[in-house]
Amino acid sequence: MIEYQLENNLAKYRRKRDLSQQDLADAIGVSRKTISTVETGRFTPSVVIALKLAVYFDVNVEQLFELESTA
Amino acid sequence: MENTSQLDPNVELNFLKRCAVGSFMVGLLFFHRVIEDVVYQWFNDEVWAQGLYALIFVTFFIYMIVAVVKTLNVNVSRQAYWFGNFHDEYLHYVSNQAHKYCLGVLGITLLGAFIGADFITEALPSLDLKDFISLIFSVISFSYSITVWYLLRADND
Repeated sequence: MIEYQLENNLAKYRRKRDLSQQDLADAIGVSRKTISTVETGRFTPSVVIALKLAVYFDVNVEQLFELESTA
Repeated sequence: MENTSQLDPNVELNFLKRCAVGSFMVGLLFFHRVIEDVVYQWFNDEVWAQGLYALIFVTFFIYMIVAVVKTLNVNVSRQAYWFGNFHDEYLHYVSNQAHKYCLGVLGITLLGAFIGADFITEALPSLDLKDFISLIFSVISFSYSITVWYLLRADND
């Protein structure tokens, strides 16, 4: 069975806009912990947060999050 | 407490942290009840050591009261306050994980106590039912608070 790992480019997009984790958290209405744990891969966000982030950065969700096969 | 769905995540975060502190202090309180006699036996005639131990315990107890009072005054939703259903996704995840680990640790502890019941009764004849219940309470409280602290550990910005 092929196993997948969720990768994200959140930190990259955030730094591009020169935002802190707190700035981004405030902008989409979540805690800074949510942003930091999503960035480090410790927490997988819901579709709602993924869509909020995509709307905020004006990109597709696939540009922020991607599945990479580990097998 | 508020019923609104638009809540400040920082308020929820502080509430969860205070719950962890409160839970840890409750754990200490129950654990203290079990180990109190043992500690006093260690420091048999050392009055200063017994006084120091009592001072540390009283300090922790006061801290616990303050933490609990602060928690009672916080503006979180009823769902978060009573059921641990946080509006913020990660905090909700942390709360769920803490309850899950708490239940797991409780199950393992009770299973261990069941298997080793005869040995425990022989090794610790002075351990009565109240002590055992106190120990279980402290295990529950410690496992909840440690899980919350671990999942809310510092990370870089």
